[in-house]
Amino acid sequence: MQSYLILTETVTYAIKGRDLLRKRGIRAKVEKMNSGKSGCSYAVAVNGNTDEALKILKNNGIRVLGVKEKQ
Amino acid sequence: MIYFDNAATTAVKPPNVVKAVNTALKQLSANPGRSGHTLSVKTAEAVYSVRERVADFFGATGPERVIFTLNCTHSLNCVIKGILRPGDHTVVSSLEHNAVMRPLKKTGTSFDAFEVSLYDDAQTLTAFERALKPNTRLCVCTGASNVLGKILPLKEIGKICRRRGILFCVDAAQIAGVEPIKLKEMNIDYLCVAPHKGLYAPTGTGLLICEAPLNNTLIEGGTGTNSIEWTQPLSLPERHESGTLNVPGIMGVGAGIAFVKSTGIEKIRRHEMKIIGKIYAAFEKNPQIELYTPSPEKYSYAPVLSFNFKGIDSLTAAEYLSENGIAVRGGLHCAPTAHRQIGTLPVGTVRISAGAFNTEAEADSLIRLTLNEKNIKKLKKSIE
Repeated sequence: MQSYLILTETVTYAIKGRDLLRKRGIRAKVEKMNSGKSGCSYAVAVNGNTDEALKILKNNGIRVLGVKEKQ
Repeated sequence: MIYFDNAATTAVKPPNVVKAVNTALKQLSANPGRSGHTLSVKTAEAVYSVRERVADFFGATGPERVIFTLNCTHSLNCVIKGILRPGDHTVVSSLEHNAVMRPLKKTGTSFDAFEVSLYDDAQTLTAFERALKPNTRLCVCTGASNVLGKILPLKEIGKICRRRGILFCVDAAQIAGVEPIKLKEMNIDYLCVAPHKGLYAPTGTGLLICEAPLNNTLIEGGTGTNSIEWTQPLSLPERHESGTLNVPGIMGVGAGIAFVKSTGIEKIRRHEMKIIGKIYAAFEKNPQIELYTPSPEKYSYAPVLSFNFKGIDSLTAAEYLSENGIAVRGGLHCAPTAHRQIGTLPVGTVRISAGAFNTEAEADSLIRLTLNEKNIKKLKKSIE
């Protein structure tokens, strides 16, 4: 299954996002990454379809900076 | 030593706080929110869990609203210098610490102080409303005076601020862990906390909880994200947390809150007020002692008591007590405005402040020593 990295603004939001997703039964973990455009950032790594995860994050005020396929 | 200087910092820390700090030093020594390795992420998660605990304890909207600072003074500087701009007016209470007055003065903006009645909160509220101006942008007031212990009617002040569109900042150095504080219920926009006092955390820790925007930063630097930019990230808490965090201290904050919650704020408060009440009652009967407040048990007071020996300056009196194994604080307590109100400038007062670990037996020792006529006479003679 393809893994995706959901880019967040900070490690705080990445952890908050991960916890929210886990509470809804979505497996998620925090990873540091280089977003390319702005340098270091943190992401929430999830497997499979990201639609539900993105919806949960958005509904809880977590700004998503982008989604990348995990290599 | 008998320690009655808890308003400066609580010297006795609960075992779980000591353990949390030790554990952090051994197991969480990576830099949180910087690197991506397991230990860094584990440390970041531990820091985040304390943010959650703090947010829950004070009823903040979310853990990201919790900013870790160096101390309460740092938090107050962030708010005052971050908000005020030329033309703004601020209202403060007459009992503020220099942690409020000095940064306020530095901004060069105008401010007025409202007099806090030591007896009647309704009078305090009337004075507060009178001090407001059309350009009042901010109200900064202490939760409780660090000199007199008087607790301010925060809920009512917050209500007025909200109605008038004024930002409300509370210096909770003396009341966090002593009185319940709920940000939303009290309409507090910014809460500044000294966790090393009533939350029994280590020194070198501070909290700033922002329920309203705070865009201007006091310091800038590395935050672990958005590193290519030379501007600070916009989001909280990282916007105001440049540089490496005090992880052992933060773990101590989490453990301190756990201690206060498990013991119960009300239980701690009752215990501390019983001790202060006992000392007050003994002092009240003695003509050699001057007191400055009504009985703290009858009105709304934190466990802080100021007094003077008649004819002996406060520093000499505090030294006498220290030489006899009792730690109190003499002088102005960095709050000259409070001393101006009670007429104790420039000599100050001797301040006794109780904590959760003080005992009634310690209060008895303090009373015995303070009211020892022979010693006091000797002391008076020595300074003549």
